Amino acid sequence: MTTTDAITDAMPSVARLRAREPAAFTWLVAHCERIVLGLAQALGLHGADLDDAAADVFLAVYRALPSFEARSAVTTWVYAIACRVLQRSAIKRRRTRGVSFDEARHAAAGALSADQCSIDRERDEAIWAAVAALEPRSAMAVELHYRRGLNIEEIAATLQCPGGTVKTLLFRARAVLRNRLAELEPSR
Amino acid sequence: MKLNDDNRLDTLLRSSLTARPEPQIGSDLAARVMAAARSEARAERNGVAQRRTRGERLTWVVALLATVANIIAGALHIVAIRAAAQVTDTAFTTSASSSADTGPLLLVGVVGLGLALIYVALQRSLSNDGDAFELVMN
Repeated sequence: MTTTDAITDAMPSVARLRAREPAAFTWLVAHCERIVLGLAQALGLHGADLDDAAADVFLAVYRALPSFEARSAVTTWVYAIACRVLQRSAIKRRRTRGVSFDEARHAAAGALSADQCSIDRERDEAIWAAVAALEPRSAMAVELHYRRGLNIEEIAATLQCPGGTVKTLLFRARAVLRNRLAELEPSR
Repeated sequence: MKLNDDNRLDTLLRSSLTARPEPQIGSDLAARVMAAARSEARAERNGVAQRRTRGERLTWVVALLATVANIIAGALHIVAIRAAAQVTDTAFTTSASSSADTGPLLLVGVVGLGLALIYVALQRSLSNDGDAFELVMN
């Protein structure tokens, strides 16, 4: 039996999660993987980097599980760890390599299927690249708000900051994205 | 595309980001992470064992050096007392030679006992925490 076979829809108890039972951890990964990968993708990661980032996040979660105190939902707790780990690695990556809008755009290119309208495709790739070029916390706030539909309080719990800070992050992100997309307009 | 309107920008961002394909990764992530955590824990345990072995070796070296120093100190003590006895009168020589017989033995015994106690204390702290010697050395 593989670990994937052990996934059930029922959430495992906190005790089982804290004991790091394989089935409980597999359930946790299966339920949080999509959001965590989306956050990494929003920061401009792709391919092997995305894979490594996801592994780093869940390794940090695995290490921290015995200290999980169930003060919040386990998924929120995982997303908070994901944001911290991804933000740290994004800052490090930008410091060493730098992530430009063009690089992010190159990373975003080719993700859509060929049958999609080319104008939509170009516009979407420009938006994804613009989001990836944002400051990491802003990029994650945009991802959680616009793509995953989380409200301000939920994002604040995930990013572990006050709701006012989330509003500021989103406001600044919108201003940057508006300028960035307006710059692209005349080139069409 | 007029982006001055916040609602239009919001709509555009929402539609574009939700249309983004979900990223796919290779194999079973949970299994990989658990395997990595296990190998990390194993490496950590090996590291502790190595530190412990190094600590035990250091204990023996320290104990051996201290014993050698103790024997040398005892020998010097005997030589000094015998030299002193040669330049004094007979009465004093008698009392000095009697002290020359017992003094070094007493000294060796006391210092040896002290060393044994230190050795036992170090071994005990080592068994409680493999890093005890590293802490002492640092």
